[in-house]
Amino acid sequence: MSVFNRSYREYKGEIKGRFFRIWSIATQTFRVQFSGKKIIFLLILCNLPVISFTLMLIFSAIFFPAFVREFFLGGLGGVDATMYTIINFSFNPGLIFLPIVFICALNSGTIANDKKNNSLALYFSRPITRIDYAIGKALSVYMVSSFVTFVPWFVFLVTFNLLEGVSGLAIKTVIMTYLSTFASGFLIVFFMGSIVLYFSSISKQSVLGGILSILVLFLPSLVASLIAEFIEADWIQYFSIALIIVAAVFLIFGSPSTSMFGMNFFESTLSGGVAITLMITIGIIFLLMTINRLYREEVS
Amino acid sequence: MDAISFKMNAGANALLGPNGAGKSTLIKILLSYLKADQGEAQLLGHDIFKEGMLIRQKVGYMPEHFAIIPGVNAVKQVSLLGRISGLPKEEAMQRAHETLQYVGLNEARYRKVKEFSTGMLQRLKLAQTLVNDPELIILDEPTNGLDPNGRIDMIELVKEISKEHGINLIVSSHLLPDIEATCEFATIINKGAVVAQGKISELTYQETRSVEKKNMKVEIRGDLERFLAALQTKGIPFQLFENTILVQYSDEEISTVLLKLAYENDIQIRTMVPSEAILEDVFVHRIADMNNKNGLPTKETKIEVSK
Repeated sequence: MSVFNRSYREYKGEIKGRFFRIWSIATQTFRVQFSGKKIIFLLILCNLPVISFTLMLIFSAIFFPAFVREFFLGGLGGVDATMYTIINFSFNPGLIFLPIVFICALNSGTIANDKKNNSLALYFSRPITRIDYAIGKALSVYMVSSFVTFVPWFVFLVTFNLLEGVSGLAIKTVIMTYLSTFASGFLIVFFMGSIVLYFSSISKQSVLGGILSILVLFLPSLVASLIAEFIEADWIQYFSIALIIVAAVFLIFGSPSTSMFGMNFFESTLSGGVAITLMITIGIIFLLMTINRLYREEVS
Repeated sequence: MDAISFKMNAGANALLGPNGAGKSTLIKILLSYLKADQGEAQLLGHDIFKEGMLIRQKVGYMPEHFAIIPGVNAVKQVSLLGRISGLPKEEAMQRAHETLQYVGLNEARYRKVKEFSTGMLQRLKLAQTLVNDPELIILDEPTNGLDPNGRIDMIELVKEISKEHGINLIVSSHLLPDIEATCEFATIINKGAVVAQGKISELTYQETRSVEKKNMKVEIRGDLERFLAALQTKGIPFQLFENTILVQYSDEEISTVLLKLAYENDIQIRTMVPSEAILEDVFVHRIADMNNKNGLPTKETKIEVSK
């Protein structure tokens, strides 16, 4: 039927299932959250370490003689060690505020804006449950957050493999690196994203949600560093988001040798198992708290 | 709401009641926004407590308040809500265009919904209600905030949806003339209980028959002041609206009395019809009756009606 004829048409066709509906919420929210000119600037800023490494690789391949390139690639270590190093550069205590600010700033309006604009009345009058809505929104947050984690990391990995080549013996390491990169990225995204999602659901003001989630992600580290002035104990380090991430990624990558150009970077002393458990548990708790809050939300 | 029990017919139904009567609560319960403590209810033959998803598949809801999905244009908003209702992506987009065209928003399809005027938002809400071709649509104050032309257009649209496309309606509105124009049946609730229900034409007919003081609309040719003076002398109460005299009566012989009076004063009666009750009369009297039974003042109800 032409859209230029004013008439009403009945629909008797296919009705899609639950996953399609959740995915529709996720993709639409992702598009809205990911639009705007400021995003590009923030993205470049947050991905500076991985962008720098990728550009170094490309320039070395184009401009440097072969022996310099081999020295450079060899100096980086294997593909797994290099990737591990890049993740740690991105999430080390000095730079972690960049991805945290990015994740919090972009996702703080995910549910808050819906509450502000009464969109919940529109969503919940459709055949979806509040859990479906929460999962859709969570997926959107994870997708947005993946642009400061495994999306740029995969770009680097592909570049690295294309320039260095993959020999038959290294194929297993390469595959494991891809899997480890995805696992590390998803763990970070799930942990931080779930926290932001919860704070986005507590108010109609996205700014408030953003500020609270940044505080929650930073305050434990600050408190831990203050406590560390008086008490010497390893467990205090578990309060630092950056150190937890390092420990978790270190375990996921199978404790790689981090000797880059002879320097020993980012060897974690914390238990990776504890760190991973902490991140998953906190992520699940915040996700459940979000669902609980949505069920208590009165829709006008 | 407490111990409310009623059944609505297929077709265009009005849900009426003063503020706080429980209309919104009832709609929220029907759409599973709120959970009832006890009782049972069915919508389109489905149990609202067990088959909420199936019901929302078949029902379109137009909320009263401002409600948009931020950051998108009209066609994307309607298309998204179509997809959430289960329409495939291409079909949802096609139907979004069609329904926006249908409600008269064709030119504004690609404008951000945040820039829409109140009238456009009302039309947008109607479009998203229709996008999944529901069996029943629930309209909460559909003519709120519309200018006179927009209001007439919306009433025509709602009538067309119900009569030509066979979609069932539940309309909740304070504007009773709009209800009379769009709906066939009415359910009036107050304090969580049904006070009147039935065909609007039957309710108004009963109201016309039941009121003690009736009105007769009279138009005359001749000396108006002389006729009014004669009415006053006879002790017949009346009101004058431009050239129409509204004579209040309780005596069934009023027409004979008026004809005799006109003859005596050399006046010609051109029109003489008993005035019919309208839905507003039904509403006011039924609510007042209920409040009187419960010993409540009726003033509050009247204020709500005048709003």
